Order: sequence, then structure tokens, then C-alpha cells
Amino acid sequence: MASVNQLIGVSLIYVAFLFTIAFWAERYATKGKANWLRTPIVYTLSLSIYCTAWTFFGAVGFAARSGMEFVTIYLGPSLVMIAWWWILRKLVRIGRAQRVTSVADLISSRYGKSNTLAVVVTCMAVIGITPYIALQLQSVVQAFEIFVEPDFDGTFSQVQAGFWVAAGLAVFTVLFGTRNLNANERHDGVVIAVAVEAVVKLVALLAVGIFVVWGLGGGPAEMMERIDSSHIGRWQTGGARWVALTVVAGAAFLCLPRMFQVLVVENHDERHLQIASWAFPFYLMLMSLFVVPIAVVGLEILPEGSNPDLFVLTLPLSQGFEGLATLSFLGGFSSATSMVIVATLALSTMVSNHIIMPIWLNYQDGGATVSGDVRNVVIISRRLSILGILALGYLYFRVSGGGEALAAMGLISFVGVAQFLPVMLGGMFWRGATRAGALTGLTIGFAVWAYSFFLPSIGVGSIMSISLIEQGPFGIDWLRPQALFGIAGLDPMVHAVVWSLTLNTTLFVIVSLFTFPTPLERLQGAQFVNVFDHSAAAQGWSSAAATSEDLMIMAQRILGPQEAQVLFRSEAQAQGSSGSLPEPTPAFLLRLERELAASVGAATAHAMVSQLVGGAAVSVEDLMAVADESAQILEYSNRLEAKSAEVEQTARKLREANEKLTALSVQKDSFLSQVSHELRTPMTSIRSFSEILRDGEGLSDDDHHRYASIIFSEALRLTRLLDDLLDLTVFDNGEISLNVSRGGLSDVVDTAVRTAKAADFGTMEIDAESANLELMLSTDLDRLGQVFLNLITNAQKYCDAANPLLRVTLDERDGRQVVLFEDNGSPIPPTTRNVIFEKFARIDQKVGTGAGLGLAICKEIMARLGGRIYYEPTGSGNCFVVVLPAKRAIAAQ
Amino acid sequence: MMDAIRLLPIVGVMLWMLPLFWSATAGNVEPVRTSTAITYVFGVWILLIFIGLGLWSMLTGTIEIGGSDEDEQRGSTETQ
Repeated sequence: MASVNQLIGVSLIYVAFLFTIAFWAERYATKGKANWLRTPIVYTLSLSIYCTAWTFFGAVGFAARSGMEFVTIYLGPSLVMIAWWWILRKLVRIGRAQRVTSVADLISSRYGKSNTLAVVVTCMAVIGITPYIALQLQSVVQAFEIFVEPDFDGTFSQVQAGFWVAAGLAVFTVLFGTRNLNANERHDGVVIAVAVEAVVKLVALLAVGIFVVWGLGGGPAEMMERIDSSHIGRWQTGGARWVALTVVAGAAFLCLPRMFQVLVVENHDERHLQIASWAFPFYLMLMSLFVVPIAVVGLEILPEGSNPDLFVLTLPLSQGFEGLATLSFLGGFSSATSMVIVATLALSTMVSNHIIMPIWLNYQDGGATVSGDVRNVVIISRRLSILGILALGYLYFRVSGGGEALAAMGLISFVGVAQFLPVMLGGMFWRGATRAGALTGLTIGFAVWAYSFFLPSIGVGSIMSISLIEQGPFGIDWLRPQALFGIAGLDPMVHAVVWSLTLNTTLFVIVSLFTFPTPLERLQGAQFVNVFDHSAAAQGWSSAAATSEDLMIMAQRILGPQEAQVLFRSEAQAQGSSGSLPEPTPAFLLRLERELAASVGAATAHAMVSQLVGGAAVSVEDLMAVADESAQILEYSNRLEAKSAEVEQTARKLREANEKLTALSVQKDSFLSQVSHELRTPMTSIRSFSEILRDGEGLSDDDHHRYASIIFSEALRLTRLLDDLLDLTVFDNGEISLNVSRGGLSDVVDTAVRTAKAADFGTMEIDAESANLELMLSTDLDRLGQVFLNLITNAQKYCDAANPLLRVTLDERDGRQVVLFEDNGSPIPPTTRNVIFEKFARIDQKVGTGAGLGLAICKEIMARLGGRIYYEPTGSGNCFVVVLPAKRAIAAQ
Repeated sequence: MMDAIRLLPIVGVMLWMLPLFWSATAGNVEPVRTSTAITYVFGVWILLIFIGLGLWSMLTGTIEIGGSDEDEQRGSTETQ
């Protein structure tokens, strides 16, 4: 028998060997020569951290109790790896793009960098993983005990041994896990040590398996027969357990903090994933290949009542193969230590980044600008977290007393961390997932897990009384921990998995649907879900308040002086400046935040940068304006709309102008045709009568005279027409010069009446009493007289009454002096009233000899003089109203 | 061939969930022997591993997946 001292010696040598490898790998990595350390093989082997002491020792025990069921623990992860294209590829890409450091960081980052969520996830992870760490301690201690028992007389203390194992692991983890804070929280030393341990545990298990199958079992064929004839020789797994275990194992593979650490955080190259997608299932298959044979042979050979969890160890030992037993011990030891180291590391990162650092920063008045090296604080907090977590594990180990079967404890942990899955996947594939939904889902799922699985497992009668489990709290039947909602008869594990995950997912989805995400959540959601479209915009720091110096000082404290300088210089070069300090552009701030996040987590980094930048100054509007694509599109379309409205307006104006021009052109054409018509009529008669006079011999004197008179009158008419046209043109062009003089209104009217009577077109009586027209005027009296004359001659010409009468009076309309010209002829028909002031408008073409320009000229003249002329219908005649020029009329008084 | 990578896990799930029917028929027929179960489960496992290996060797370099850290650093300095 190997003595305990020998075993301790071997273990110490083994640990020293691991130390050397890890140390050496770290040195190579810091020199930048670590490329060969970052090969797909190392990545695949580091994933074997999944196979813990629970797997190494416990799988055999699991198989000895329930046959092939144990294999589901490996099938789940194998399926997840084979499905790498669906989930892992995206997860790794997100992890790299967002510089995620842990599961808590991933979830917090996705849901708006919420530290609350990070704290919740961290607490859940610590609660879920602590039993698991205790389990590892327990398995190592139990393995020791196997070697000790025959030698010693009961002085072996599990408690003491556990303490020393925990202490040793703490030293190793602190030494290699927190040597430095490097980019992206990677630990080359630890990873290489884990890879070596992966080989050791595989070799050990295979060696024991080969020994059992060929040494004890008599070859594969005989082995199969022995298996069939054993008490696990028939398929006995229920379908529900088969599915539930596979699902839980797959979920845990993604969600366990230590798995996340090696899968995502320590990933150097996404291409390694594809190789691991078949290589890791291969590793798992080898690990489980000999589990059933070892269990069957152990059950056969070893005395009844021996712990099946330790068959791997006790079988070679019972046959006297101490070397093999020692190797087997080392395999189990490797499994336990590598798991504890990485799990502790991952948990300590979470605890330090999401709990200790925010609290510490809060207690510093200056926040991120506080003096001193923050790196030291981070490292110290990290170390304290490691010690704390291991202390918790040890405490749990002491309290629980280690009576539980290994597999059961492992499963409890698995179901606990599987609660992260809905929130994680939801965050990766569904943009609508919100922080409130995630919080609710996680809390409920975790509560159900604790109530229905974790607490009952601690020991019936200790925390939960037997009556509570059998009758429910306060006798409420449907709240029985292992038969929620009254559905009894399920396996407790299946029951816990189904209810916790169902309620978790349902509430997560429902609350997400009914809550609205903040802008930051929506941005992060878009970046996570569309991680493969690199177009994702920045989170939008407005760099108003941040100076490069401040940022540099902060970055130096967290990243280290050299790393910070390298980062700043490369950014400055990229920006094209010659100095070593870049401009604090939003893009740079984003990059810096991600670099910082690699050391202290997304939420903390965000908080630190926001303190310098003036986080409060980053308003919702800024964020939206910078990054929200829809806002930009909306703005763009608004601008387009405004443009098009403008164009439309211009087009309308052009159209109006065109219409006016066309109308003017039509007017001009009709004017020209009217003028030529008016000119041609007298011209025709002048030409024909002058022709008669020239050729007509033998014309009587009378005829001669008559014809000459016609020619004369037609020529007069032509002259008048041309005078009128000339007047009109002059008025139209505004070239008129007014000859202002003072005089009485009655004189003007008198002159007009006299002139009209001289022409004497008829027998019209004109009533223009001077007494009624007493008013002094100061205007162009000649022009005014022209208007009056025109109105009087019009009345003379067109009045058709039997005793025509025209009355000229002075009156007042709307406070203005007006002269009324009223006759008793038949009124102008309403349809023509509108056009009488237009050029060439004549009421009846047959009547009169005028060109139809008189009233048009009157209208123009009155407009020039500052007055107006309009037609006013009366009951039994016509009335033209001449509004006198206002100022001059008043001035005259 | 990309679809093969996507479909493989679905094939895996279907094959590995077949044991659900074994327990269902346990009542009237002789339960499945553990040796048969071992052969079946491990057979599927090996099959999936080999298909995965084959797809990897066939599609290496042809499918688009992200590069390593070094690629990323090079890429980011080039684009900036």
C-alpha cells in the first residue's frame, strides 16, 4: 500500500510540475511567443474543464446506480459543440466584439450594461457553484481517505485535509489567475495547465478502463456479456430523465462560468471552434467509453457497500496495482484542481468586477479620477474574491459533511446555472428582450430551483422540514417543493428542470414583451443580435468633457502604463496625429471602454468612462441621434420631404407665372386684333370713298361733298382712335406727367358740359347746378375734365330714354368725396357691367361710333390721380361714381 | 455543404433521442440490453465525430468565420 506521505509527495511533485508549465507558458505568452500555446488542440483540451472530479469519479458511481443514464451528461455538451454554427459561433463573436469577461458581464452588457443584473447573475453563480467546489474538495479528500484507511487508525481528518487542499488551490489560483490584468482577461498559464491536466485525466481513466476490460473483464466481448448480466444490464432510463439531463447538461455547458471562461474568454481564434466541434465530442466519448465496464466490474468484484463513486480508485487498489491507482488518483486530482481553479477564477472575476469594484469606486469621492493605481485595487479585490469563494466552498464542504452522492450535487449545480440560458440565448437572438424581463426570469427561475431542488437536497429535516416537503408550506398542497401546482409523481430532478426553466422562460418573454427597453439596451441588443453585421454603430460617447490626459491617466491605472501608451499611440496614429495623445472621439472612447471592460467588466468600465466624459451629459437624445438608425432615416426622409415640398412650391409658382404669361399673351393678341379691326373699318371706307372720288367722273357736287365728308369723318374717327390708343399706352406704361393746378369742381364740370353740348349729339338735358358742386380741387384738372367729358358724351350717346336726362351731383361715399353721373336710360345688363371698363368693350356693337376705349382710359386716369371710378346700378337708370382724389380734395378745403 | 454543418446537430438530436422509444416499449417487449445501448449511443457518437471531422477538412478555408486576435489587430489598423 502506498503510504499517505508517498501520495502527498506525488501530489506535490505533480503540482510543482503544473506550476512550472504554467509559469513557463506565462513567460512565453508575455514575450509574445505564445502562438503555439494558442492552437486548436490546447483550446479543445482546455474545454475538458467540463469533466470534473464529478465526471472522473462520479460518472462510474452514476452508472453503477442507473446504468446508461450517466452518458447524457456528455451528450448535451457534444450536441452543443456539434451545433457550434448556431450558438457558439455567435457567442464567441459577441464575447470578442464586446470584450466580455464572464457570463455576468455578457448578460449585463446585453441588457444595457446593467450592474444590477450583473450582481444578480454573480450571486446566483456563486450560490450555484459553491456546492460544486465543495464537491471537488470532497472528492479529493475521499480519494485520499481510500489510500489512508488501511494504514492509519482513524486520525485522518477529512476537515483538515479539505482545508489543505483548498489552501493549496487558492495559492495556485491566486498565483496564476491574478498575475496581471491582461487584455480580455486571458490566462495562458492556467489554460496550458488545464490542458495538461486534461491529458492526465484522460490517460488515467483510459488506463484504468483498459486494465478493467482487458485485465479483469477478459476482453470486450466477454465484457459486454458481463454488462448484460449485471443488475444494470437492461435499459432502465425513463424518457423524461433522458431528455431533461441532456438539456440541462447542454445548458450548463454554455452557462457554467468556468465553461464560459474557456469557451469564450480564452478563445484566441474563432476557427478553433470548428475543430473543437468534433475534437471535443471525441474527448468526451473517450472519457465515457469505459465508465460502464468499470462500474460493472466494480460491482462484481468489490465487497458490497463500497462507494461506487470511487471504483476508479478502489478497483486497481484492490488488485494490488498501486502505480495505476496513483495514476488514477492523479487523474481525479487533476479533474478537481483544474475545475476549482478555473471556476474560482471565473467567479472571482465576476465578484470583483460586479460587486467589489463598483462598491469601491462608489466609496472613492473622485470616482475614476482617484489617484493611485487602480490596477492594484483590481488585483487585490480579485485575490480576495478567490479566497472568499474557496472559503465558501470549504465551508459548504464542512457543513454538508460530504454524505451526498457526487452526481446528485453536480446536477443541482447544473440546473442552477442552466437558469442563465433563456436570458443568454434571448439576448443573443431576440432584440426585444429587456432588462426587466431578464431580471424577472432569472429571479423566478432561480427561486424555483432553490425551492424545489437545492434546499430539499441539503437534507430533509435540516432547512426544510419533512412536513413542508410532504404537505407544502402551511399545508398548501400545490406549493409542495417537489410537486408544484399539484403535479406529483415526477422525478425531483425532472420536476425542478421543467418548472424552473419553463417559468423562467415564460416570465422572461412576457415581461420583455410588456416593458420597453432603454436606448442603451436597444443599442446593445442590436449589437448582440446583429453581431455579424459589422455596421453596428457606437454607443455614442459625446466627448465634450473628456480630455485625452484624463483618459490616459485612468487607462494607465487600469491597463498599466505601457499598455495604455501603446493603445493611445496606435489610436493617435490611426487618427493621423503626430503626438501620442489621440483626440477623444466617440470611436476612441468606445474602443477604450472595451479595453477597460476586458479588465474590470463592461458595467464598471462604462461607469468609469462616463464619469470622465460626463456620463450625465450623454443624454438619451445624443445616444439616439448617434446610433439609432431609424432616427437617422427618419431625419433624412424629413429632409427629403421638405425638399420635395419646396420643389413643388417652386413648380407651382412657375406654373402660375406661365399661366399669367399665357393670359397676357392672349390678351395682347386679342388687343392687337381688336386694334387692327378698329383701324381697318374706317380705313376701308376712306379707301373706297377716295377711290370713287378719284375714278368717279360725272359725280354730282352733292355726292362729291357727301363722300368727302364721310372720308373726313372717318379720318377724324381714326385720329380719335389713335389719340385714345396713345393715351392708353401712355397710362399703361406709367409715363404720364400730371399737371397739378387748383380750381373749383364746378368749373371743371361746366367746361365738360359745354364741350359736350357743343358736340351736340342729341337732346339730352344736363342738370349740373354749380351750387351743388362747390369744392376746391388741387389735381390735374384737365385730365379730370377729360373723364367727366367722357362720361357725359357716353350718356349722350347711349341714353335711350324718351326725355334723356343726366344729373351731375356731389356726394360722399365711405368718407370720400364723389361725383355722381346719373342718367335715366335703361340700365346696363348685369353680364356686361364687369367688362365696361375693359379696352374695346362696347355694350352694343351696333350703337355708337366709339372705339370702346373711353371708360378704360377713364379708369386709368382716375387710378393715376389717386381716385377711382365705378358703376353703380340704380333702380331706373345708370350711375357712374367718380371718387375724387382724397388728399387733394381735403387740402383744397 | 454549409447546410450540412447546420443540419448535423439536428441529426444528432434525433438519433440520440431514439432511446426515448426504448423505455416506452419496455412493458411488452424485453428491455433493450445495456450492451446494445452502449453500441448504439457510441456508434452515433463516432458517426457524428467523423462527419464533423469530414466537414471540417472539406470546408476549411471556404466558410466565412472570424479570424484570430492577430487578424483582428491587423484588420483594425488597416481599416482605421
